[in-house]
This record gives sequence, structure tokens and C-alpha cells, in this order.
Amino acid sequence: MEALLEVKNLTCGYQSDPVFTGVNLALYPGQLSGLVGPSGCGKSTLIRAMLGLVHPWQGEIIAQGKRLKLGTSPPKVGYVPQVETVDWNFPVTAEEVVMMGRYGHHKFSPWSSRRDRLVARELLDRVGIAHVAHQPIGDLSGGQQQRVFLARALVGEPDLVLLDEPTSGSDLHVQHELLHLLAELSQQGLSILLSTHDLNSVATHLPWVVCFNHGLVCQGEPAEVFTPAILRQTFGAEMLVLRQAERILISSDATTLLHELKNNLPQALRPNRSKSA
Amino acid sequence: MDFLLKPFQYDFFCRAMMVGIMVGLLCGVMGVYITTRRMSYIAHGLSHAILGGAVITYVLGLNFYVGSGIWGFGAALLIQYLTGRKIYSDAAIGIVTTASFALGVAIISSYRKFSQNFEAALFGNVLGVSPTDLWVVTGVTIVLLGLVFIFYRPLLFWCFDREVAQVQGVPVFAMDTLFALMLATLLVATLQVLGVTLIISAVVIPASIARLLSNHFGHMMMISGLLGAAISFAGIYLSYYLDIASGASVVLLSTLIFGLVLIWTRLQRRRKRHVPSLHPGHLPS
Amino acid sequence: MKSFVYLSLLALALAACRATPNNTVGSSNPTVSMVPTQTANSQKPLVVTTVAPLTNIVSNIAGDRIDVKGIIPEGTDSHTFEPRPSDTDILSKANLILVNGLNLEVPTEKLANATKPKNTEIFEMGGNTITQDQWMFDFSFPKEKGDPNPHLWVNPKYAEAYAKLAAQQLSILDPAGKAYYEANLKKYMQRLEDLDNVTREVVASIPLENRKLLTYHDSWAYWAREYGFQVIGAIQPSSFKEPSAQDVAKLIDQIKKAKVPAIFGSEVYPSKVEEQIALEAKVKTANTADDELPGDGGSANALENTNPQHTYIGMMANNLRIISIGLGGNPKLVDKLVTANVVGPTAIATKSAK
Repeated sequence: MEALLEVKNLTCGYQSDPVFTGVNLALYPGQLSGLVGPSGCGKSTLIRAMLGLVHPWQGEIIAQGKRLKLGTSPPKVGYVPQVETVDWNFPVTAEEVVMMGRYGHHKFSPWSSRRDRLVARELLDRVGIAHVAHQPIGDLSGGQQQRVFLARALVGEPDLVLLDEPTSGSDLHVQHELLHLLAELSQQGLSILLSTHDLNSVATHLPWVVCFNHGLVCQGEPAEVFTPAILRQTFGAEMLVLRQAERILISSDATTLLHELKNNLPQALRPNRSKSA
Repeated sequence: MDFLLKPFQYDFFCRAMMVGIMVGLLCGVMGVYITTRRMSYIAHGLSHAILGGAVITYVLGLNFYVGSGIWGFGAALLIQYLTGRKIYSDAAIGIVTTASFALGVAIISSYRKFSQNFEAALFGNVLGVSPTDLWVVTGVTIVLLGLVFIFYRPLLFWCFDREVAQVQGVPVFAMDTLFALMLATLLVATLQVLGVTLIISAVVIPASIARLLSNHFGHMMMISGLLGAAISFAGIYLSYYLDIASGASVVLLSTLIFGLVLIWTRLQRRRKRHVPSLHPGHLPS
Repeated sequence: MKSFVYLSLLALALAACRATPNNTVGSSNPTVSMVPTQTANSQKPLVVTTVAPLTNIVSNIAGDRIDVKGIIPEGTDSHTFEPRPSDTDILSKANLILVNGLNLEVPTEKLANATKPKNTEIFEMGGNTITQDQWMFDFSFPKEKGDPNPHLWVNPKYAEAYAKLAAQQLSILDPAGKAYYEANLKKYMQRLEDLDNVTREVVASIPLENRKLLTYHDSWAYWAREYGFQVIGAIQPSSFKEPSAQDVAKLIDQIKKAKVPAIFGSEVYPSKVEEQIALEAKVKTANTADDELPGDGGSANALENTNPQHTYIGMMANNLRIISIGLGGNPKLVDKLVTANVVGPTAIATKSAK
């Protein structure tokens, strides 16, 4: 199987010191992977480099078999940036943002086509924000904003989507919904890479993880990769790993681990409490 | 009625009106890009930078529009380049634009035989608009509005989220260049009407008023353009009866309208707020 | 935004510094150039003047006995001219400073006061030529503002008075040269008389109903009074700013009513508004000059000048041609006028114009 997007020996940085060095990574169709590492380890930079938004110091990026030229982006790739980077005051509605993603489909017409509107609405529905389609984006909640961006990335009908910290700042319930959605999409053939520093809610649920810390540490299935040794290398701290049936729980101290254990109990195993909205 | 129509008997006044309306329209439309991209400071600085270009153009004996246009375009590109770097970008822009402006002033003071009207450059002189100027402004208006129309979708995406736009196929470097060119053209063409110090108000105020009234980019553009044109018309018209400088009249009127709309929208918002009553038996939603 | 404010403040501060005179230059040499030097001394006395016509008139009298330096460059607006640091240097060495006065060169006079040597006098030519009841007020210089119109030298009769005053002041400064100055004065007066005569001829050739002047800057008041012209308006309002819409409308009406064939601008004040007024009122427009001498490559100082056109008389001759062409007179009447200086490279034997 040919990789959709591949980086070879990639080194990137902003000023004098590199942010990461010598990265080799390939993304294949239908793959759902997590890019895992501590804050500031270069995950965002790697994603942006793969998208052609940051000039690499060394190495190359290969998209669909062809070497990517400096300053260009790989075709048929979607990008969901971190929520903080966007100007929420901008006068557009959710639907208008999603429609922007249809640009690639007919570049020379000043207005959107009916098909654009149809696809946009379908996607808004799919990600569960059809009811706020006509609201200005500044009025949306964090989770809704995240999904607008995802819809925008998907509306272009890409083969690969890169998401930068899509679950940060969301509550568990929203996170789980997003992960479900991503899993569905990946089963339908979409390749997805998302970055996260959250192990227990996100990384341990993904079929494939890439451990990253200013360079590639290791990649594989969570069961193989989440060992104290590798976690130490990735996060620079001693981590406790608890395996329970299909699940893995990780934490740097026992108290938190127990807390996580409680939080991660399936619905049926929770003590009785009134349903929260 | 005669009293109201009196100023229109004069050719110079009619020309001033027509140019003023077109400039107001153009600045209003372009102003939406400039304010939403948080470029107001850049536009202000650029208008000062163009003064340097205008002076050099004069000294070298080139055509004002061509020379200043090229200089302004270069300055705009330089600023685009500097904005790309997030560190100290506003200081860098301040240095570039004030240096260009100061270069203009220095040349004026040392050239000694400089005989262009410095004051008109600063404050504009819409009353001195010649028939040629009118044609130039008309041409510029048609071209710029045409470009805004043709490139509406890519410019919108580029304006909102340049990085994702690049990923999804928008030629962002071309958009940078296009916008720089459009901005420089706008400023050079309108410099004569409002002058370096007042141009920024024509660009920023109608767009800001439109923002208060709309959440849709497209609507904002239409409101801003029409508002800009209407305020220009009213401002120049009033300047005749109040016997004050036309440029200043337009700016003051637009500021007044901004203030009124701001107050009105605040009141509207207050009226729309409804506090849920804490009735026993109701759970707060 | 903050950095922009700081940078602007810095720029302002620097500009303000530039405008204030450098006091150390003047006060640090208390003995140099205080006493009028004898001609036996190799150093000639230095007389500093302001606008070019003034420099020209004074240098014609001073000849080679005195160094005359004018500090306001030709074609600059004397009302707002800001001297440069090099001008401070010149002023600090002046033995005598001759200005027009009547608030023509206020910034220059301020600087002169601050930097000149203690004993050097600043002599106002204009103030000593006419008395207060002869002051003229008009459109650019309205009575409410208090400042009269200072453009006396445009009137050849007043130029004659200036020449006489120059001779008088130079003789006080350098008594040994008195006879020399008187001789120069006599020659120069002849030229000025010729100018006056030619002017009257040219005026006579202009139809009576066209003897009206509308100029950009009101510099023709005294000339008009002398030769029977009516100044019907000035485009430049008294605040030296651009005219308002109402001003422009009124001027257009005025021009149409007065039925003048031409209005006159000035190269010092290039004005697009003036062009549009002329366009709409359907009149011709041409530029006259009141402080710029015609012809390239000359100098206002007679001793340095090599272009015979580049003189005060040359300037007035040019003006007469332009006015007569515009208003329907005979410009050829000006051709017989000798415009050269009476000293220096362009001096030729004086011939009477008659």
C-alpha cells in the first residue's frame, strides 16, 4: 500500500535550535493514528511541516509519491488547527466557514454552487452541528467550533485529515463523541492523524500511536507502545501503566491512576448518580 | 430647494462629489478586509509610507500615480513579509512606514525647491480634483471592485484563516501579492481626496459600523461600501454649508455615525437580554 | 500600536529640536564681527538678507565691498520657511541683517534674533518704507488678523525706497564706502525708474475693464494700488490652508462676474484647486512670481550672478509679460527693459529705456 503522506529524515525549527530532528513517518489510507507527546515537543510543528506550512531545514515530504515543493501543500489533505489560533470575532457563520472548504472544487467562480451547499449541510449534520449552522462562529461553544473546523476539512473530500489537539479543552463527553466520529470516518477509508498530550482519554483508545518528543520515539499499537520505558522516553517522567482487559490506564502517580480508573469506568459500572445534561 | 442644490451648479463640486462617493465606496469595501484581518495599523502606516514614495516620484520627475503606486506596492509587500513573522511585527512595521514618511519629509526640507503642496498630501484636497483624476479614480474603482468580486471566495478564506486556506488549495502567496497591490492602488488613488492622515478613517470607520450591524462577511461588505459612499456624499455636502475642510467633514461625520450606531446596538442588546425568572419549581437551565 | 506612538513622539521631538536655534554658536564668540570692519581688513562685512528680491536689491548697492547672503531659497514660501542649521552659522557671523519685516519672515526673524551677534542690528525694510496708515489689508491678509500685506517690493516705487534704505544702512555699517554705495544707488535707481516707466506703458496697453487681478497668493496689493489695478480676490485664505468649498464657489462666481480673462498663480503654491477654478470659470491661468527670480543657474546675489534675467527687475519684467498676455496687453513693451544688475558679471553701461 502506498503511503498518502510520508516524511523522510525531517528536521524543522523556527530560530536557531531545531524543534525536532530526523523524523521518518508514513501515513496510510484508512489509518487512524495519534501523535502523542508532551506539550511543546514539536507535535504541532510536525503537523504543520507535513502540510507545507513550515519550511523544513532538512529532509523531504512526499505526497502521493511526489516530492513536495517548498511553500506548497499536499493535495487532498484536510487540516483542523488548534482552536486558539482562530479569530472568533470574524463575521462568518458556521455554514459559511464550512463552505470555504469547497474552494478547491471550483476555483474560478465567485459564488458557491448548490452542490457546495448540499455537501456542507450534510456534513454539518454528520458532525452534529446542523442546528447552529446559521450562527456566527463566535457564538458557538468550544466543542461546536472544533466540529465546524472538522466539517470544513472534510467538505473538501480529502484522503487524509490532520488534527492538532482536537480534544484539548473539551469535556469528556465531547471528546468521546469526536473520537467516535473519527473512528467512523477512518472505517470509511479516511486516513486520520491527530495530536494529543492526553493519554487516557484519547491515546489509549486509538488503534495506532506515534510517540513523539522532539523526534520520533516509537510507534505501534497502544498495548505495545505504552510501556514505562517508552513513556519515560516520551514524557520524561516515570509513568505507571495499568492494564485492564482491553483498556490501558497511565499516570505518573497512583492516586491519579485510581482517579482515572474511576473516570474511565464504563457507564454500567458507575455508581448511581442523577444524569447530568 | 435652490438653496439645497446650489453647490451642484459648480463643476468642481460635482467632481468632488463623484470622486468622494467612489472613494468612500472603495474604502468601505476594502476596509472590511483590513479591519477583519487586523490590518488597520498597517494600512495607516502604509498611507504614511506612500508619502515618501510620492516625494521621491516628484523629485525624479515621474508620473505621480505610477511612481507612488510602485513604491506603495513595494512597501505593502515588505509589510506583508514582516507580518509573517510573529515577533515584534508591529514595531518593524512602525519602523518601515515612519522611515518612509520621514524620508519624504527630509527630502522636502532639503530639496528646497520642493513646490508640491505638502499640506494637500497630508489632509487631501478633494476640491482640486481634475477631470483626469476623476477618470483615474473611476477606473480604479471598477478594477478593484471587479477584483473583489472575482476573487471573493479565495480572498475570504485567505482573510479568515490563511494557513488552512493554503492547505485547501488557495494560492495564498498570490493572494498576499494581490491584496498588497490592491491596497497600494487604493491608497494611492485616494490619497488626493483624503490625504495621508485621514485615509485610515475612510477605511476603518464604515467597516467598523458595518461590523456592529452584521455577522456576515458579504453583508458587511455591502453595508460598508454603501455607508462609505453615503457618508462621503453627506460629508462633502455638509462641508459646503458649514464652510469647513471637506476631508475633515467626512471624517467627523463618520465618527459621529459610528458613535450613534454603537450606542444604538448596545441598547438593542440590553433590551434583548431576558433574565430567566427564578420561579420555585423551575430548575435553572 | 504603542511602538508607533513612541516612534512618532520621537520623530516629533527630533523635529522640534531642529527648529530651535543653536544658542551656543552665537554666544560663544562675543568678539568676532561685532565692530564694523575696515575695508583694509581682508574680511568683508557680512550682510544677511532673506528673500531673493531683497538680496538682489541689496547686493546691487553693496557691490564688491560687502558680502551679501540671502538665506531664504528662491521659490520657497517665506511665510513658513524654517531655516536650517547652516543658516544659524551664517546669522551668527552677520554684521547687519536686512529683512522685509511686516511679519513676512517670522521664523527666520526669530532665529536671527536668537543667533545674531549682540551688536548686529536687524533692520526692517518694509516697516521703514511705509507708515501704518499706508498698510494694506486684503484677502490673504485680512484686517482682523492684524498683519498687513508684506509684499512691498513688488511695487517698483517701494523697491526704489528699499534701494535707498539699503544704501543708507550700508553706509552706516561701512562709512568709508559711502561714495561707492551712492554711485551704485544712482545707477540702480535709473534701472528702477525704467521699470516703473515700462510698467506704466504696459498697464496703459491693457484694456481698462481687464485691469483686475485674482491671484493665488495676495502679493500684488501695493503694486495694484500704485498702477490702478483692482485686486478682486485671492484663492489662498488667510490661514494659508486650502480654500473651503464655499470659498471656491465664491471665487468662481467672482471671476465670472468680473469677467477677467485670466487669473494668476504662483510656483511657490502649486495648486490643483486653482487649476480647477480656472477650468470652471473658463479663464486662462499663468504663474507670476514675487520671490523667485527667473532663469536657471543664476544667483540672487549680483556679484555671483551670470544670468542677466535672474534679477529683481528680470522677475518684474517677466511678470509684466505674463500679466499683459493674460489680460490683453502688449507684452512686447517689456522687451526694451534692461534687466541686468549694475554690479557684478552682468553689469553693463546703464542705458535709459527712453
